[in-house]
Amino acid sequence: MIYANVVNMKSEEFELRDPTKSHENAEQLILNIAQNNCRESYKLLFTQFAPKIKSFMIGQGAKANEAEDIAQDAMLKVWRKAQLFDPKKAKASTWIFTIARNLQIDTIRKQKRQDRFNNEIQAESYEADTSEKMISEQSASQVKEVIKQLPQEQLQVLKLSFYEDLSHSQIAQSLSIPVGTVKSRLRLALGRLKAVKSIFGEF
Amino acid sequence: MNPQAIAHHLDDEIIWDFVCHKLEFGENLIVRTHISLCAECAKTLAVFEAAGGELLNDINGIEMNDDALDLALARIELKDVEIPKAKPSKSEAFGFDLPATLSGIEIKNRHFLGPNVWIAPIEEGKNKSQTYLLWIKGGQDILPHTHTKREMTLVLSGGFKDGDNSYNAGDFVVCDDSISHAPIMLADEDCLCLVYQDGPIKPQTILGHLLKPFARI
Ligand SMILES: [Zn+2]
Repeated sequence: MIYANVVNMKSEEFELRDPTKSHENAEQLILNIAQNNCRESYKLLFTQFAPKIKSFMIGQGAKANEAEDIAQDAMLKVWRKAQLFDPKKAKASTWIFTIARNLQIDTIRKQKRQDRFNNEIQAESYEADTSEKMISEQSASQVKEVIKQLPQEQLQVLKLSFYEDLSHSQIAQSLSIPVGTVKSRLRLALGRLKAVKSIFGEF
Repeated sequence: MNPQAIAHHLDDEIIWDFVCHKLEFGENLIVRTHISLCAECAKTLAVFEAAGGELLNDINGIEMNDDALDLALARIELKDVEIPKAKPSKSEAFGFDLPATLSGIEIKNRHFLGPNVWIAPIEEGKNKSQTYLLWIKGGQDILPHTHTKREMTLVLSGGFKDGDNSYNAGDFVVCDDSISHAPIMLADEDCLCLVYQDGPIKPQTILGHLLKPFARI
């Protein structure tokens, strides 16, 4: 980890760090925003995450300009909601990802609405049901460990299903393996992740 | 609704599809509603979202437009004019209390398919997929049947039995052509479900065989 050498720094020293230094710890950047509206921290956070969100959205089938907009909106939400971020409950990347994902759902709903029976859905900003429950730092690092240790073939299927807007049969095609194999690899990978739940019990 | 009583949960693949945003609107609504009622599935979601966060961290970014950072810095100076959203509250329809995830979702007028059954459409999606509330009066008989399409049902109120399984408020069931169903409605309690099905309304839903005589509408 980038921060391994400063883990034991006292918090005063921590705050004295120059926020323009690259590879700033993302959790700390969000805290800086929450505490001081720190624009330098926001710049760094934006530079770090906006391109990733854009890339993810394009993988999900969004056009480049839509993906750009979602990345912009998601980061704006990060700025506005920074006070709600609790590093004990979630890693920065998970928190930002959840915000982006909820935004994506909203955006897609808005688009779809036009050709549906005119259904005026107002639940767009309702995120509490999916984003409030976050897992502890300890569980989060366990999740990271599980992903690291997944067999390559399971990781590949997990990544493809996450990054790309592909069905199981499309994944099967692209890897030249049977659909059943895709499903069983995914199931195994998810099973290993889910085991984190039982290791730590309550989050 | 007592969350302890939930016996039939979302499977891992469906929760993962939810995280990856692969679900249709109606499926998404059912999954969100179940998760809002079920601590167990909410935990699984939290783990999978953490995995999503890790994978996002790993992704190679795609460069933003040249002026993106300037735009972002300008936008944060604007006053946040968002109207604070009212806390989602329970909603009510046709005399039933509905979970908060359904508040703000427009539910169309119900139509009776007979004295003991009605449906209230919520949305028609891709390939004529349907999302709707289905109500069946307690004690109604349903003939054995199978399904031809994928379908999700979330029990909101009341319940039914299917073979050895009992389904009650909060329970989730997904069906396809592999299983034959012979649901038995509870004698004394009406049943309300949120249903998504992957195609036009035909006698295909787990509780839908009784719709057959009315399917021409
Ligand atoms: Zn559950």
